[in-house]
Amino acid sequence: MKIPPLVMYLRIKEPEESGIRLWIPLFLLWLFVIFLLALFLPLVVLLALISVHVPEIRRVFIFAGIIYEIIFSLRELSVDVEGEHQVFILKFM
Amino acid sequence: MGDERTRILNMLKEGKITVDEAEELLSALEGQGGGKELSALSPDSAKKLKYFHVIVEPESGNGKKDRVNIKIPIAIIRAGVKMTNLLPEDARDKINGAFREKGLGMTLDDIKEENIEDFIEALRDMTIDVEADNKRVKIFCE
Repeated sequence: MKIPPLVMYLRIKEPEESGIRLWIPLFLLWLFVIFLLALFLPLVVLLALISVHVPEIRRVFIFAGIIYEIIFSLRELSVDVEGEHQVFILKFM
Repeated sequence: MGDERTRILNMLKEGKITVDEAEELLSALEGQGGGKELSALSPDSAKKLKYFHVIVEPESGNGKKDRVNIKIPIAIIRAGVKMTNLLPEDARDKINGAFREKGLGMTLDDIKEENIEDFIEALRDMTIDVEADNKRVKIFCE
């Protein structure tokens, strides 16, 4: 089963500054997205039915599918750049 | 179970798997009580590529702290390839033109979903390990 990233960790440190260190709870965002999807489900189903005859709408659905795939594959992406006095860390967990 | 042990040992003998992989497969086989088919435990499926790594680190004793460690899930590459199918025609032309300008003998049309698995599999054998300017750059997949 694919699991989307649940937490994003971002750390940026500039020279002579304490920088920022953020833990972003993405799982709250997914809960919101699920709520929105449930709310608009009838509309989505209607658009899906129309998309059979309208290629533009079909492309939107394909695009949404790819975005979904990219978001799910972000899990475990890690960028860690460390300099003498600068640090940039981005992690999806 | 005996047959499957023999097949693992033969794969080791033929150099298809390493000693560590053979050990892993044998212990998995013992753990399964031989109930699972060897095909499910083959090194290909056990070692499916998952990440693309870019590592830049100073040579030991250098004293510098500059380092880069990037781990990209291969799944992003797969999704990215699918994304190319949605590019508008004029954008595709521009990208193909840029490929030609840079001397790359390929177009976006050559990157297809059915080819991507071969491409990713080819990455398995790719390891770049360069030492220059007191830094070591490693690019590999695991």
